[in-house]
Amino acid sequence: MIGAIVRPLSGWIVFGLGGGILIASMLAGLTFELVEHRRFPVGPVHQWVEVDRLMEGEHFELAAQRLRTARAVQRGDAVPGARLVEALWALGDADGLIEAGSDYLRLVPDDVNVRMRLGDALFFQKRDFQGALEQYEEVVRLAPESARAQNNLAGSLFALGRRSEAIVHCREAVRLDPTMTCASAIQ
Amino acid sequence: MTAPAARPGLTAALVGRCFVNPLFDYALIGGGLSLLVLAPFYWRGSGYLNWSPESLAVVLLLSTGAHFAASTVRLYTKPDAATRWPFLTLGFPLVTVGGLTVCILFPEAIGWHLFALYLTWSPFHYARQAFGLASMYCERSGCHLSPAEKRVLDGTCMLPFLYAFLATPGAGIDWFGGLALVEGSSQVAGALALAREGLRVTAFALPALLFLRLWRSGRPMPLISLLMIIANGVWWLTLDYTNAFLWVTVFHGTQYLAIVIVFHVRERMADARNRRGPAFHVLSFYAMSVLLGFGLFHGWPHVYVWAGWGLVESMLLTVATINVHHFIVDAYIWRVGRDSGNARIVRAA
Repeated sequence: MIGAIVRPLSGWIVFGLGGGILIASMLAGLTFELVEHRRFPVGPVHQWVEVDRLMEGEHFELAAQRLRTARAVQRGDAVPGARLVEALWALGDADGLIEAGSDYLRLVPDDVNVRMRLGDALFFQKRDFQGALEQYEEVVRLAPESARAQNNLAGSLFALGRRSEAIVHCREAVRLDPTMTCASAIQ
Repeated sequence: MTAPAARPGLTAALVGRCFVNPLFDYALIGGGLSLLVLAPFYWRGSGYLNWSPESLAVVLLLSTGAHFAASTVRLYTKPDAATRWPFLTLGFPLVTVGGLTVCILFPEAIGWHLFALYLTWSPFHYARQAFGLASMYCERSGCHLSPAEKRVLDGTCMLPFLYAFLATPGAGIDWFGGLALVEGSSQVAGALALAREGLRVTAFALPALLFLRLWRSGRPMPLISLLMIIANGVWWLTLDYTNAFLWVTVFHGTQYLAIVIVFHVRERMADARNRRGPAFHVLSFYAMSVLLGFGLFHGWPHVYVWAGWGLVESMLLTVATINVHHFIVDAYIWRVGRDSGNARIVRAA
């Protein structure tokens, strides 16, 4: 008797329980975000808003940790890579930046900002002048009007003993921006 | 004795038999509106598509989120769904939650495969939708395709998927590092680049050739079918992959919501027990879809965060799971058997 009543309903009982748990979970998730963090969840882009907030608040370590996870899950997606380079630059993590920057540039080879960061990490932190030169040459090819790129290219040429080539780029840097002191010093 | 059916005029045949009216069908179901929205992108550059996350969140909720939820709403509002598909309706949601939990537990070992699956499957799913809708409009507009012509139409719709399969980093052939391997050989890299360029051309040339062939055979393909195939090609072949995966979901979502609501409303209006008007069914279906989409994308991932897992893996893998669930549910709810409810709606005026 009871079986005859329950059996046709069993599927709906399972579904009702499952659906109820799912709806309760969704409401709990929303409530948690609203109460615990006092902010409204913004759906599929929430993690990027969160990373932006962390970067603005200068919590670079936490931002880098989240971006590393994103890079591991979204393999091939460039978005986490560019932000990770910025976070690692702020942290002064040259090795991490060189790894993340090289990986990112495989996907987006024309990103001048990341290439510049990679060149700077190689030049100033690792003292790898040849590696930095390759990055700055590429930046100058992509953005010949960048005074800083011309300036840094001159610096790496100078460090490698290629004075005459360095002077050419020094002059170009000073022409583009007369405040380029490093270039002036070489001249 | 029945009178012979009147042969439609050329204009009527080209416009095709619309579900609502030509403006609605061409703009929303055909994807015409998406091409108008994208037009400034080609002369203002990709910056045009760089919306703030907060603005994107609203667009994604009303279109993409509602669309993913709509397949679930459609499944559970079908009167005989639990009897026809007991596992899909009752067991699969639990399998989905279990699978997602395992992926979030091991994001770097397992989770990234789920993400790669979602990226690989998405363009395939959209290609299948373009084929399904294009052949449906052909059928209801009197352009009956032979099995061989259907295969050509199917193959034509698959070209953007093939392109994405060969070009998307982290998915398709790059799922297991294929693109990095290709970079090691200039000959293979050259062949791959050539294949991509070939696909870019044929994805637009082949639909035009098919259209001409049907025109010559006296069965003009309705222009809305051509528009759908071209729109799907434009989405995948002219946007870079980041914008493609973001904006195609918006365009596809709008298209999907329009057609699923048409089917839902027609099914409800044909029900003898129905006491409500079409506006009620349109609004109630869309409202349910937006609410469920909101819960799925805005609420569900935070349960995992609450339980102690990271925000990034919870968000990314929930999105991937919702996508894969949607692809599987769609494979069932859109079946057009000879006597199915879907077939009756396709044939009806």
